[in-house]
Amino acid sequence: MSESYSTVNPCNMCMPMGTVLAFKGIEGCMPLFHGSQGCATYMRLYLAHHFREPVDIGSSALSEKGTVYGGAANLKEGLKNLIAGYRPKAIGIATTCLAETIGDDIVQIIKEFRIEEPLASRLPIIPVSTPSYSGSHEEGYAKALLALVETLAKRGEPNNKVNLVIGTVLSPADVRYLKDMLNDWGCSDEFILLPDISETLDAPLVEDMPAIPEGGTPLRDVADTANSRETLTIGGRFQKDFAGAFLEENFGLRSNLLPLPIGLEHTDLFVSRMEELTERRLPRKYEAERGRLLDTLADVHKYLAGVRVAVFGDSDIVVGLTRLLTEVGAVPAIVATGHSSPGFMAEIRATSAEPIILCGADFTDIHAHVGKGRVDLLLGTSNGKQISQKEKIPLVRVGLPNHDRVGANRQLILGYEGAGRLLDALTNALLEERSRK
Amino acid sequence: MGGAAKAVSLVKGFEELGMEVVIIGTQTGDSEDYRKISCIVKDGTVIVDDANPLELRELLQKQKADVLVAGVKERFLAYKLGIAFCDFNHDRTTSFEGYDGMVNFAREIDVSLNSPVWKLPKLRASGLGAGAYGNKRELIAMHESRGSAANV
Repeated sequence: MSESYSTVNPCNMCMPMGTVLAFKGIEGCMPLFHGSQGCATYMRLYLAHHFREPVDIGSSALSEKGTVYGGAANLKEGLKNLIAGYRPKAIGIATTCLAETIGDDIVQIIKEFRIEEPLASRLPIIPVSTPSYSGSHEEGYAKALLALVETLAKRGEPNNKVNLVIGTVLSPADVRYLKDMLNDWGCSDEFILLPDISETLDAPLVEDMPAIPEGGTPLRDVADTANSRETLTIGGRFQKDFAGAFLEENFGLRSNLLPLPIGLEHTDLFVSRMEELTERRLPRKYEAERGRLLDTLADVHKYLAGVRVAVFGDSDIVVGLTRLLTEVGAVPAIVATGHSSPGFMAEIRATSAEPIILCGADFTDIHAHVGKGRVDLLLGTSNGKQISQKEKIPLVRVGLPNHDRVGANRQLILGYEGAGRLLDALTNALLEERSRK
Repeated sequence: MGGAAKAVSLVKGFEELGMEVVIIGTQTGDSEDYRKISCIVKDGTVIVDDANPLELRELLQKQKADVLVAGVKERFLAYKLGIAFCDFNHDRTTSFEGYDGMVNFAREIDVSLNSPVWKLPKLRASGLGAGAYGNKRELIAMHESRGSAANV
C-alpha cells in the first residue's frame, strides 16, 4: 500500500471510464455521463487516443444551475439529444463525482423520462452508479456489466448456452481471438460473449460510417444470459460486484471464475475448462499454437533468465503477465496495480515469492521502488514512460492506456499465440537495448 | 561439439562443476586429438567424430544428456528435445577462459539447465472424459501447489 497521502500519476483510471468499455461492447449502445461535460470530453480523448477510433460519449453537461437545483432537466435533455442524434438501441448512463455528490436519483429520472418521451418508452436505459472519487476503472467496468444483466436479463426458455463474460478490459484483438477460437471450436452459437468490443472499438473504414459502430453483444443475447446453463467469467476476479454472481443468485445458473488465459498454464486452465463445457477437444490449430509457445519459451529462455521486470496495469492482466514471467524464468521484481484488493496480493504471492507488491499504487510509488533495486525491463501501460525515460529502462507496452505507440487495438496477449508474442516483445526490447550499448 | 581443443578443455570444466560428460565429439579433430580425448574421459562416454544431426539426436536421447555445448546449428535441436544448451561457438558473448571465465561458464550452464521452461508440461491436461477429469484435477492441484509452495 502507498504510504503517501496523495496520489500522483495514478496507475488506474476512474469508474466512469470503465463503464464506457463495457457499454461500447453492446450492440447499438451509447454511453452517457451524468455530470459535467469535462468528464465525457476527457474520457473521449483518453480512449480515442488509445484505440485510435472515434469514441463518442454523451453528457448531461451539468452546469452550476443543475448542480445546485438537481440535474434531472439536464439529464433528460441530454438523453433526448442522444436519441435524436444517434438512434441508439440502448443507453448506458454512468454517474460521475458531481452527480453522486448532489445525489440525483437516476432511476427515478429515467422513469419520468420514459413517460415524458414516447421515443424512449421501450428503449433499454441502463443506469450505473460510479462516483469516480471511489474505486477504479476496473470496478466501473465490472459494475457496468452487472448493471447490464440487472437491467436486461430476462427469464425465458433455457438456451443451454454458456455466458462467457470478459471480466477485464482487453483489446479488440484479444476479443477477436476468443471469438475465432469459439468459431474454430464449432461452438460460437453455444456461447454468449459479454461484452464484445472486437468491432466497436476497432471499426473498419467504410464508405458510409455508421453513427454507432456495428458489432457488440446483441441486446437479445444480454437478455438471454438469464437462461444460460452457466456463466464463465475470465478475469475480473478481484471485484466485489460482478455479473456472474447476480445471474447465479437471481436465475440459479452456476458462476465460475477463471484467470485470464495469459501465459501457458493459465491458457491451459481456460482450454481444459472449455473442453469440459463444449465436450469437444481443443482444435488442432490451437494445439499447434501451444507447441509453438513451448518452443518459443525454450528459444528465449536464456535471454530472459533472471531478467528483473517491473509489471504494472490492471490486476488480472498483471497476474497473467507475472505468471508468464515466472514460466520463462524472468523475475517479477515489482508488481503493481492501481486497484486495491487483498485477493490480488495473495494471488501474486502464490505465483512468486520475489516481487515487491504494490496495491493501489501510483507511478510515484512504482518509480521509487524501481529506483531502489535493479530493474531491467518495464512491462505495462504507456503511463510507465516517464520511469522508462528517467531510468533508461525499456518499456514494453501492454494494456490500457497505450497513448504513445500505435497498434493497441491489435495487440494480442491472450492464449498461446498472445503469450508467444509477449515473449518476442520482451526479448526484442532487451536485445534492442543491448545493441545500443 | 566443436574443435578438439574446446572439447578437451570442457571435460575438466564439467568435472569441476560435478557434472559428467556423456558424449564428446568434434567436427575437425584428427586421430591425435581423439587419442587425447580417450585418455581424459570416463568409461562409457561416447566419443563421436563429426556427428550429423540424426546421429547427434540419437546420442543425446540414448545417453540422456541434460545439456549440450555446441554451436548455433545444434542449439535448436537441443531445445526441441527439451535439452539445455550452452553456446561455445559464434553466439557466445562472454569469455570462458581463466577463473572469471569459469564463473561465466558455470552461470551459463546453470541458467539454461535450471530454467523453469523445461518443467512446463509438454502435454496439456485435457478437460474431456473420465480419465481426463483426473488430469484436470492434477492441473488445478499444480496451480494450487505452486501457490502454497511460494507462500511458505
